[in-house]
Amino acid sequence: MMQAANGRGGNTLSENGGKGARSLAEVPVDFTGIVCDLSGDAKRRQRLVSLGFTPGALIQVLRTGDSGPMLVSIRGSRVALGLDEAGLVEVGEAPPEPNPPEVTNQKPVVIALAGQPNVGKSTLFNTLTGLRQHVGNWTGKTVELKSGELVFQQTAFTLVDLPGTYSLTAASEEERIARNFILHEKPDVVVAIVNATNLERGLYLVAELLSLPSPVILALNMMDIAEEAGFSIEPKVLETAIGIPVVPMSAAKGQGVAELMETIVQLREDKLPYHPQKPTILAAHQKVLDEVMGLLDGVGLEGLPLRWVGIKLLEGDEEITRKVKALVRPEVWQKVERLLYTHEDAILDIAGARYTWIARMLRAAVFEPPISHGRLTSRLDRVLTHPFWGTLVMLLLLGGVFWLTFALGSPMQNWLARLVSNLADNMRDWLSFAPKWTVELIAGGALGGLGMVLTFLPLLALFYTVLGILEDTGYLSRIAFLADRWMHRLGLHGKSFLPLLLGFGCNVPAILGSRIVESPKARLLTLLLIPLIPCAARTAVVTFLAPVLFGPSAAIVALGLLAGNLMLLGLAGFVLHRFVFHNEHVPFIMELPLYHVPNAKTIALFVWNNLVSFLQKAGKVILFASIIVWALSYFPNGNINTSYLARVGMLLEPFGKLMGLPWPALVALLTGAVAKENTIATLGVLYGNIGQTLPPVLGTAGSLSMLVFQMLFIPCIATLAAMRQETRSWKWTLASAGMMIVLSTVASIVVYQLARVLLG
Amino acid sequence: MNPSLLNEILDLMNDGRVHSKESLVSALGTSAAMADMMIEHLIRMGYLEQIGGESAPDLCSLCDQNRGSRTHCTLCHQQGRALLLTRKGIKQAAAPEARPGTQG
Repeated sequence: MMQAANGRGGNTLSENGGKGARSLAEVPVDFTGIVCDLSGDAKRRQRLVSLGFTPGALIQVLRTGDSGPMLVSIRGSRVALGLDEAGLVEVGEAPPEPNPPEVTNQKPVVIALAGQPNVGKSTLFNTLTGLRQHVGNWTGKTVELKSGELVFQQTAFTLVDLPGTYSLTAASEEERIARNFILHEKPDVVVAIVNATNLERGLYLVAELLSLPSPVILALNMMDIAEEAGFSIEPKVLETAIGIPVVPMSAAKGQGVAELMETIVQLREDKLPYHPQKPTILAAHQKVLDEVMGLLDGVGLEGLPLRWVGIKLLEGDEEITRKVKALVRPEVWQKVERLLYTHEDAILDIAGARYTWIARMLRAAVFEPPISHGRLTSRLDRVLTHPFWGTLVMLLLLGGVFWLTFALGSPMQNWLARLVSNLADNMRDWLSFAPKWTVELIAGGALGGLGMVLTFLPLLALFYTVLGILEDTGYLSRIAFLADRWMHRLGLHGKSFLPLLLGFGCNVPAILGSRIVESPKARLLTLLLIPLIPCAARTAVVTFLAPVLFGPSAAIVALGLLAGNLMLLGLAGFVLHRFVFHNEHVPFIMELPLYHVPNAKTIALFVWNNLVSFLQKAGKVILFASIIVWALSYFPNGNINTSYLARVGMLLEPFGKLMGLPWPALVALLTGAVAKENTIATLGVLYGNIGQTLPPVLGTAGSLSMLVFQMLFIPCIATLAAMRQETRSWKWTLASAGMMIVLSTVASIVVYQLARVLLG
Repeated sequence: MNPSLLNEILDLMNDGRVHSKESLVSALGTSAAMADMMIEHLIRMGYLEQIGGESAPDLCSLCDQNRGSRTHCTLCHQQGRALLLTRKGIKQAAAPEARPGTQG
């Protein structure tokens, strides 16, 4: 029989019902009794247990829940409970006070409970000690240290609930307190409580505890949850592997707690074997450790174990280093310091040895549930991230995205374009009474530009839907991974990768993200490369224009443009790496999400967000730009060929001729510098229904040239603003813009002239 | 005894034998949770550096593709992160270590 020392803590764990058990929600104010049982789902039961509602706990009702939550006193705390939650707690009358238990030992056996936060340490502590708890500060520190009393098999125990810690590196006050308690107070037993569903993390702390002088018992808590999750843990095998007692338990259910106490007693009485298998360290470092220990041998280390001090010195533990330095003679410390300096890498080895030890222990005793989609991910990734097959699948998939978008979207787009065109004509009829310029402003400017952009919506919706599906399955991250592989082959592999990757979404965050590149020179060149990445807006405009200009061949043209753009980027990256990074090798790995079935709601949200944002942009920038472009093309005399815009366009015509672009098409491309979608709006204003008017004007060579220019021209004003902000230099901002203008012009001229020769 | 697992991670990355966390887990023969723990440890010790992932939201909020919803991003998925070897990590990986272990 186990009892808290005051006899009323209710720690008869086998107790499962008091007299007259009923729901806590039904009992009157001032009721005093014990908790008999808990009902409800596991999550709610767990919450109640964490508040101290464990079977046998003494409870007093301070206020009933007639007008709000009820208030109870349990384990020295006042807890407010909703009536629903109170209904999950079954209470009964408290059993009569037993006689104070007889104890045979004068000095209580001290047990320290160690473990990470949220492994059920406090639940076990509350279960064992009941109301007999004290809270105190540890030698001037602010972190509280709880202790409690317990009598088990006529032996008095003092339990100390150490602060929750992940390791004992003394990196935090909690860790310092936990390890100093074990080092200085030398508890008779340390119970290391670990979460059975996450043994890896718990065992790191155990590996550290084993190097301290107190014997350790491993309590595998939450075994019930681990079993439900499919983990198969062999406590006996683990016990043999680690060489210390291992007790499986579920503290929240009171299971295994008595067995834990029994194990403590037996270990105290030397009835259990105790041969801890500690982590090993490399022989070279062992030699240094021996030398350090030799130098410190005989030095009063305030009772600290010599070997532990040596390991901590090799690990670079600041507190121990300071302490030892103060305790030893300066000449001895110099020798120690020299040894430590020449074996700096021991830090990594000692920590690494603990992980190697954990892996060995787990391999012996733990079988994790097979994660089916984890295996599926591995199988799929063997193909999808393969340099050749992965690239082939990616090209096929992207081609499929374009094909599907065009095949389904183009008819809808044509229908909408006709609708907008008819609406504009009707508008002219309806507003025939108004001044001509007003009519043209609405029908030609607003409807011509904004309306044309709106016809884009079905295409965009399809494009984003397919993209959303690829994204939600986890596939798009594989494209990034493949891109990394190509860049790796080109030599561009390092910190500039992430900003470049971000650029595929939008060039603005990519430019801001280049801050992670430390070298100013490398950073500047990364900044100059970013505008070469086809952002989503550029890709979307090409997605719109390709079917207008190329009909059924649109998917191949769009894919070819994208591939050509990436090749240009790769070439630039190659030059950057060879001449700027000087082949500097910066290895890295990527974390890829698991593949999973796409969620319709998530994709719908993705499409919706993108469309709304597009419409907002269309409503602000594009409408405004359409009106400006219309005004410039209408005034001063209502004739486009003699308009202000035509005069500007005529200046550019020599370049336009080389690229196969008439001045209105060139002007439309230039307005894309504000926002890429402006190109479509301007084409709508200047050409009307571009599906019918544009292809004959441009021809195949001119159409190709136009798309190439669109892909390589200045991304947008926002990108230039970000560039100015990051380079803090107008010179470099203008240089970037100039580079893009030259590159897009030269590429368009080359493509046009080549296409003219090849296609006739 | 082989180099400790932490050294092995650095070696694998430095030699270009792993490019994803999945391949790292597979090469080490450990669980993903264990690999995560070791990666965190190496980051704390300054051998690895994390870019992207949770450190990227500031950038993602600016992204035209993210639309501020932070639920999705076209390419730089929020779950994704990249782990780089720092200079310290490269230096450590370059130091060959394959010595027999002893009881510690």
